[in-house]
Amino acid sequence: MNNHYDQDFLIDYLHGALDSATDAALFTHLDACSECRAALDVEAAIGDALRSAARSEALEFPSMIKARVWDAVRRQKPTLLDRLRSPWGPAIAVPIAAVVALAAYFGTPVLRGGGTAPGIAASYYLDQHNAQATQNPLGPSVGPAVYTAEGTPATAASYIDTADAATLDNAQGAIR
Amino acid sequence: MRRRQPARFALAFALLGLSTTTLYGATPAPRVTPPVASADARPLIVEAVAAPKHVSFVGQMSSIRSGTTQAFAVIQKVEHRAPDQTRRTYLAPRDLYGQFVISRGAMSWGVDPGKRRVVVSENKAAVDPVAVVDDIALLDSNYRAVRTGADDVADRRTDVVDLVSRYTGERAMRLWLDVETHVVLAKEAYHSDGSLAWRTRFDDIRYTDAIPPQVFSESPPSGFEMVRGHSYDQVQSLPSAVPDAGFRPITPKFLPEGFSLVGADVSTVKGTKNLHLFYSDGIRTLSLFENATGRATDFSGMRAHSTTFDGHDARYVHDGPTTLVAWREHDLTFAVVGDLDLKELLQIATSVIP
Repeated sequence: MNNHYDQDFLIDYLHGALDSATDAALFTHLDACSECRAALDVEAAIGDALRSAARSEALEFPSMIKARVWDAVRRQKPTLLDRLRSPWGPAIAVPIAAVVALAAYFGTPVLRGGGTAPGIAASYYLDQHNAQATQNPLGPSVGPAVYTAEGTPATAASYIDTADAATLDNAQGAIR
Repeated sequence: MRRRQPARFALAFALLGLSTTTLYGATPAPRVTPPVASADARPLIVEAVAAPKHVSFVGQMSSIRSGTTQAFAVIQKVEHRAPDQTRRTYLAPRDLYGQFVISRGAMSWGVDPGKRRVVVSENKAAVDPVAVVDDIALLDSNYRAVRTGADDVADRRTDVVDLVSRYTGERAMRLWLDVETHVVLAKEAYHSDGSLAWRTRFDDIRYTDAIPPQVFSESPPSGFEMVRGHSYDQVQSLPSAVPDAGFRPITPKFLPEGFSLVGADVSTVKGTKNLHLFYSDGIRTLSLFENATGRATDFSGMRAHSTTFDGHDARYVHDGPTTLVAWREHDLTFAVVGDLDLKELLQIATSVIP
């Protein structure tokens, strides 16, 4: 067998994104082609590694919110109905309190920023600093800064200089 | 950005004047200069700073910025036409591919085909000879320039020059200067612990005056939106030139040795007056931002960390070798940014007392 499926096909196969005819053909092909099986295993391993990394980077629920949730749970006085449902109490109260707390969190900037609405973007500060630093004749020469006077925040296009820079661990072009 | 005019630039100014008039004033073409006999490489530095005004070239440059756990590379094609036209076309990473920046004197046009827009910026300080001389003077007062050897970069013979801190004796930067043209072919900056902060290096370079003028044409492609970027003020002396931000500016009581205030600027962002104080020791730079909104700095989309200092809650992010720390005190919001380690930045933050 000289023909092999390329990486894109294998990735789509893993994600169940192929049409049924192609999926069946690839499935049959894998039985007879050790090279494609090996390539599929590599792709599957990469996928597992990425998922594992994503899980490890899962956002920690803010401690303030957790405290509010538990506070809400503890403060609830059980009604007769509650007592009847006591084995299920926390299972109901916690999600409700969590929804309330999340609504409060996203609806009230004070919890996020501590005071008022978010202020100037950190990416703006980084842009401004880099703009000055690169004026030094011996300074670094990096990517283009894209912050504009209209206040448009920098985006992925600015790559190193701005917002993406703070999530560099996920950026393309990384040399591990 | 308003910058100061220090009294100590006389030496650097004399060197710069000597360099530009004797080496290049009569003939625009690059000339061969005798090898530097002594280890004092200050004349080489001055010539290197002046070189782009007299030498045209085309080359490919790679830049690496080192983060806490990773390094990040940018590859660009550089086309420079003396004295002041440069086009940088980004080749990698893919996020930047196709973007280019044309600079001509104080103006620059950043063209982003993906967004179909052109960002127009102006920085008068970039072409102000006093600002350039100021940079050299500051460098000279804080660093010894020592020629440490010779090397080849992009098939060109280079002088290797180290810039060593006069305070700590540590090497802060290494430069590779073309022996014939004095163009900086490579440079590396180091953290205080000796690790690499960033590096730029020409992979290849060709000196030529035959670069088509249209390479530097700033006319926006059809259908592109023109967007106004930053605009910086003319050079003025400090501290009287610190612009009115609507509140009393707070300056840090502690700065690492060699740092001094070199510029100040007030910009309006989201309707807020924001003061930017810019410090330098000639190589390393530091920014202190202040505004009176009392609003927390917006770290949306960033992986910010929390820390405390002197009873204050602060947040910080790393941007390659650069770190930003933001905090609030009373009704003021502060952010300090620089290629310094977190400990030094927190020391500076602690000394900012409203």
